[in-house]
Amino acid sequence: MSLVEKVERQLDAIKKSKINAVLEVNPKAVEDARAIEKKPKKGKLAGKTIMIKANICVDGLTASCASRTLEDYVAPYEAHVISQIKKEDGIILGMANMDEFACGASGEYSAFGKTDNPKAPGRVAGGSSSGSAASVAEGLSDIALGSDTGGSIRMPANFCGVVSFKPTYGTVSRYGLIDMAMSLDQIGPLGNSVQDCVGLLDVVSGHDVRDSTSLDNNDYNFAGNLNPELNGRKIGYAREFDDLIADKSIRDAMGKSMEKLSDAGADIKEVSLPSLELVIPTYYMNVYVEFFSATRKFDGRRYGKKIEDVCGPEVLRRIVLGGYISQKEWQGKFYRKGLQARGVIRKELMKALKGVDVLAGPVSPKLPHKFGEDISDPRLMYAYDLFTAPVNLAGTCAGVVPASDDNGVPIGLQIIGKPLEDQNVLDVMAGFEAIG
Amino acid sequence: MTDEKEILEEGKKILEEFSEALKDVPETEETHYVIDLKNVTREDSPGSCSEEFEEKFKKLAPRVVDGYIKVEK
Repeated sequence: MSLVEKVERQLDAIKKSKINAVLEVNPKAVEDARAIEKKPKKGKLAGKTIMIKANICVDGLTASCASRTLEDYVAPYEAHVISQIKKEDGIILGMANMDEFACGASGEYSAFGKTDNPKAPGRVAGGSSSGSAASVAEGLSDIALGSDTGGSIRMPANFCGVVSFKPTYGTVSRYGLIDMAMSLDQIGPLGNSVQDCVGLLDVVSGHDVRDSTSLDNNDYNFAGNLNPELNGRKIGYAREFDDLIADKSIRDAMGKSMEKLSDAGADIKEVSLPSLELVIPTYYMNVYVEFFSATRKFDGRRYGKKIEDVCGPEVLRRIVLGGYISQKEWQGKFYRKGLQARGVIRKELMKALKGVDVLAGPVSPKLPHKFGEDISDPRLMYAYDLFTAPVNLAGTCAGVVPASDDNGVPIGLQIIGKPLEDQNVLDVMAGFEAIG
Repeated sequence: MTDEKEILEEGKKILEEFSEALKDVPETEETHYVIDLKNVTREDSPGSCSEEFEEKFKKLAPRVVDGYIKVEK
């Protein structure tokens, strides 16, 4: 099948799809494919189609963040990651659905309708990069980009049964990413295999002067260095994980996954993360304040609509509470305490990682809920972030690879690494994928 | 706005609950960013902007007068 035929086929599949994963298709996708086919020398992503989360700017496409606030915001410039993808002949297929402004863990909070889970129909796809994961899972695109603030790439990958990776903070430029909480946000890939993810990661990683948190490194070669050998790897499993997992099938899946890793020669060690129970309060104290700050530009004066006038309830909650904390911060019991707790969680995670190459464990404490289940209490939604948010609070790297299922509902395994040791994580993911 | 008031009243309970959960966290260094921030500056010179970008940006603006975006004070 030619590249043009593949693009046409995927565009047709998007049109017929019922899962609401895609908000907009790139009208130039076929034209781009034709141009790439004619090139004598092709880039690293030639032949790959890519779905982009709708909070990443693609020149000429709508970066709506799945919000009425920016529903008419046609991006006038390219995010760094998009320029890199285009340089390497990747084809942008369209803009993926998401939780509004990345505020959600289920994919239900989009202003343009929820995304269904292609692997477990009737259940949430996970968020906030719901459309990115669902597109890959349903074959609407080969790979996708998402953003991860507290698990937003890993959670939907987990629920949709695909692979994903959240790089060390600063590995991928955030220039052109519409931020949710800028000290935590990081862009990363989703795909059907570790190989697909590293191919995209190699292209989007690297220093960018336009992002002040971009790390000064251009020597990434994750694909070339990928080593799936598990024999002799030291892998930690926190003793607190099992007590905090709500669904037995996830606990069982973790037990079996650790057995598989051990059978493949990995040395499994017990570690401890005693402050895991502080993760949700810590994460949200930080997020409320940063998100409130990030959204002050959406006043409707120069572009878009005033956010408070049109946003959904979860976005409004974060704005209102972020504003409240900012007013009351003289007491020091909200944000300041959140920042101190962030330091504690980071130190604990680093300590747990000290004697091992990586940690392995659950992505989520519970299976994706069914549409219609009452989750009106925001704390029920926040609970999904328990095992993913520590990685963002510590600024380190983690990936998800499918591990098992509960009557068809996917269950992923999360691999967590030390900062800048992304290669270790990807290696173990590839090793687990090979024995899975 | 009722929505905002309701959300704030419900949210205060969440904040108090979170604050209570964190009250025993020791007084320690605050972590704002996990890496050192660098100041990124450019040469002090007039900025440049392509006509193409300018046109695209003006299309996004609610009001353009004499080639300038006009906003409420």
